[in-house]
Amino acid sequence: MQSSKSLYKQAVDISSEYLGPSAERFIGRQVANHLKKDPERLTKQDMPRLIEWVRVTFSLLTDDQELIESFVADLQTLSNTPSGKAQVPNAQSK
Amino acid sequence: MHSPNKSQQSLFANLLLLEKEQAESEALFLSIGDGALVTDSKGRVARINKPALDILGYKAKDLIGRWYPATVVAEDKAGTVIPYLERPITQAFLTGKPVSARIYYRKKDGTRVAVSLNVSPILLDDVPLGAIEVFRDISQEIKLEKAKDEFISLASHQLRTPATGVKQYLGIVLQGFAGDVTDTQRDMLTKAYESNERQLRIISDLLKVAQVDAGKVALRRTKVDVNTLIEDILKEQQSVFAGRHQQIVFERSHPELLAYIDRDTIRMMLENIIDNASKYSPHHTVIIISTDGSADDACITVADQGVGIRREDRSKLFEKFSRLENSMSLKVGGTGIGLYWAKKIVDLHRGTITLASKVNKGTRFTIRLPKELDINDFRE
Repeated sequence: MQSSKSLYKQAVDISSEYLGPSAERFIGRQVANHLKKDPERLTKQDMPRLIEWVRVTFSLLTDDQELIESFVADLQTLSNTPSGKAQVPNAQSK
Repeated sequence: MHSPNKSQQSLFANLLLLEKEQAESEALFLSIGDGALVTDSKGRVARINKPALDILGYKAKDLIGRWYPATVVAEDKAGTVIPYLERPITQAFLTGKPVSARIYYRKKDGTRVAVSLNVSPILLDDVPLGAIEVFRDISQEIKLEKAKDEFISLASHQLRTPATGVKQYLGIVLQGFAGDVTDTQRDMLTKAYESNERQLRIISDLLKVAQVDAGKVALRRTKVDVNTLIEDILKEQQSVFAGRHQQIVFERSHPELLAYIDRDTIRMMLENIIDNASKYSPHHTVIIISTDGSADDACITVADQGVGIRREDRSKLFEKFSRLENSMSLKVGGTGIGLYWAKKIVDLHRGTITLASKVNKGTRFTIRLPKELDINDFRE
């Protein structure tokens, strides 16, 4: 069943597991600054670019590569095409 | 043996060119006079030059390949470790823009060094690859600044007491408590009283600056409606604008604009910006003040039709005791600390103050103040 939450809210929910209360600010600022759009208007097409930034920025918060890849893989589930293919080539699955 | 064909020759030529470019880029990096450090996409130190190693007290082998945030600990003035999320390098990635800051780095020997730094993300085709941070040791500058600030603070305190005494005695004489005063004497005494008031204002400004420089301004942040605050200021300064035949337009995108700010200091800061807009604009001009809000910030702009600020002068505008020369500066007068203090107050709120200007067309100041409190606001 499709979630009624916006893609942004889903991204924040995923990020909360890794960043706690800072998640909204972390994701919101990157959507606004890098994608230059209102976070609520985040689309699947934006996800690969957002994930590139999230990967690098999160790498400054932790050196735990497994955790970074897990975070990226979780976010990738939001950018999956209907066929289930991930759109970020470098990401590893969880 | 076969001689290389044309495509192989071209490949070799390109490789040689690439090597040359790499060598040039390496030489350029190593020749930077300030400390310079490059991190890769995993936050690890990829390159570092000698000045950076000297400042931090490390050898290259101690740092290359190590995770930068944990290896070189960043602290604030009070010695509190800056959380990874708040470090300038992380902020540069969050915003995608260069970030400048003054922080302290913990050296290898455990001592602290104050640095002024600028960090930018490195992008290739808009994809972040890492960051470059350039920094310099500002320990000596800080020592000198501290000595100067202490001197200003001491001198201001020493000056205020006698100047206040003069004001009281002049007031007593002017009010006739010491006997009758002739019209000529009254004129002279009034001039003396006004000069004394100006002197006290300057002393008060110096003390304000000394306080902010010494980190003694404690913000009492509460939820304040910025629109109401501006209305109060405009009401209070109405007669000043009317005296200059200036029209004030206040535009707001929302009836209410709430932000966690220190009412008193933000009020003084806005008074200063609005007063400057008025002072540096000719009579019969319009000053437009507008407010807007995003999810994170309250935004205030003050746009005038005044003398404007030359591009080359803009970097000096927020410096202490900086007085810019323009067609009205002699007439207006001032100490050159108003905007310095204003920026310090905005910085304390973790906001920004920027400007756009055209000479003889006008200046627009934009102030952004975070609406909500930050985790760091609770640490102070």
